[in-house]
Amino acid sequence: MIVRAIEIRNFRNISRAALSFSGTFNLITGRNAQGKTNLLEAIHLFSLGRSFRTRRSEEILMFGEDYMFARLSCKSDSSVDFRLEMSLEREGNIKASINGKRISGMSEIIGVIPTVIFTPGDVMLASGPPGGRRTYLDYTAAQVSPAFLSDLKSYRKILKQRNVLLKGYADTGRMSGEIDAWDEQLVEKGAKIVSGRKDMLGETSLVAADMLEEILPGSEPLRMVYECSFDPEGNGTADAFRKALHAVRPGERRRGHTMAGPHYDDVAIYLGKTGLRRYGSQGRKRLVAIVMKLAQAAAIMKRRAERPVVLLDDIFSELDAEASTRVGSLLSDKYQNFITSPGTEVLPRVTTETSGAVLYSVASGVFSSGKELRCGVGVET
Amino acid sequence: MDYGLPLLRALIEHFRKLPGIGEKTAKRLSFAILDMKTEEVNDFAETLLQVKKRIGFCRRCGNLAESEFCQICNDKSRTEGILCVVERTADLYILESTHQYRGCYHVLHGVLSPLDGVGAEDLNLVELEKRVREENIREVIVATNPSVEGDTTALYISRMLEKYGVKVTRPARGLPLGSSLEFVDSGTITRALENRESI
Repeated sequence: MIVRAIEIRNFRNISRAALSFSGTFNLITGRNAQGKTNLLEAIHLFSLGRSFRTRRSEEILMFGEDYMFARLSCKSDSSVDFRLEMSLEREGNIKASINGKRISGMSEIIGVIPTVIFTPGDVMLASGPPGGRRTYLDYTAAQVSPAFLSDLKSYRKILKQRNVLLKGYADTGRMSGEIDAWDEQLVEKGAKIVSGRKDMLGETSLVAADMLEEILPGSEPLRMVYECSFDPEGNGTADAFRKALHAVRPGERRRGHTMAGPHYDDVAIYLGKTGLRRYGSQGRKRLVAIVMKLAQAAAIMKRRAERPVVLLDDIFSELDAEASTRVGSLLSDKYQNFITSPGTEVLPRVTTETSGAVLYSVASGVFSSGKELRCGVGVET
Repeated sequence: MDYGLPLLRALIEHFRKLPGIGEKTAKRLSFAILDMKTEEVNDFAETLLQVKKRIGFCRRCGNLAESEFCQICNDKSRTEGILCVVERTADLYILESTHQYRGCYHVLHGVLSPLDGVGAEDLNLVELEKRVREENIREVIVATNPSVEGDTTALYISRMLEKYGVKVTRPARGLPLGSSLEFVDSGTITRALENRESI
């Protein structure tokens, strides 16, 4: 997938923009708070159907304006041109259309433009709270498998319904007989979530290990292992889940929420035999987080046979020159990349020297015209 | 804005409460009423009143009925012993329109949904269990919608009826007839592959 162009009206601090992009590297530079991330957010809006930064859609509307509009012109790997549009009116919901046809639910848009995004917060992916790693697997799997996305949505719905029942018990001391039916539903979908995530991890972990080996030759090998909270042995997941629910039953009824399930799972990350989370250096953790994301792109590519769009928000300014060059060597002009940075000097040469790379700079939401950088030509900042 | 005609405004508001009716349609319908002959309007109003007054629920299956039992329950040619459980009466009429199913029905008037405050005791389930116990039922087909709530309700019913040894089934899910693969969403295709049958 290639994003050829975007048109934006009233998206955060971008009042009006019409930009066309390179199929390899798009570099967006500018000082802090000028609108670099806003552009990535606008592109990513079409991947998720909502902002990755906020669940409150009114926040993406430019202050004081009544509507927001964005249009993405894309070309699929099978060379089909199509356009996606999103609009939002004050106090309304986001509306989306594909080729001018309104779509009813946002889940229709998930996966249309396969996307990988790395935000500054993602440096915590390998070492931070487990929720980030679950989202990582869920988001990858949802983009390659509509069935997984539908199971995930069902699971969340069942969880909500079941929690209301448990809450009712905690408040009144009366348990409705239907809890067993909700348990069984939770178990069925939960088992599918676990198997979908394991499948995805199997795909990404090998690629991530290879990538780490490539940029840190001789380092201990990277291993990522799915840690199922209710099934440490890893066999007979549905049965194990059923047993675990049984075991937490008294606690659940006291506290009024579901206390076992894939929403407590994690991914354990090792370098050799050592746990990264506890013993890894900050630099290692950061590099592992980056290769995990880039492996996500490779996994989507393999399963979807469609190149993902890679959005990298300010990852190089956090790396020293050597690490930056190494990560740069993993970036690929096979994918379309969008890279934000305060200036071009921190960017690895590959991003500025690949032919067709385009440079935009942004100040107060206004983008300078895209400049094509040619091989070997010095780059202004 | 009531054009100095609060009655007309009230009529528009009444129409607007109906499903699928917005402001514009409500206005159009209201003006159509104004254009109607007085007798016609009388008939219309009388029908509305009578519908509410005379149509209730069948004591046995929960279907709509003008007397104690509904037409289907009174129909001797219907196969006794097979029950099709549906969420609401509207679903029953959809199944009836196929003219294929000749068994009896049972209307739940809802599905389990704690978020909406609907539990087992709010559904027409006591009556269902009683029928299975007393009517020599061989099979219960649970035709609730294939949603999280519909599926859970089906599961609940199958467990509730377990002790009676009755066969509990669910309509198959898969590819729609007369369609081609290219028009079917991938979630449905996945499910259809899971439920594949040998030929």
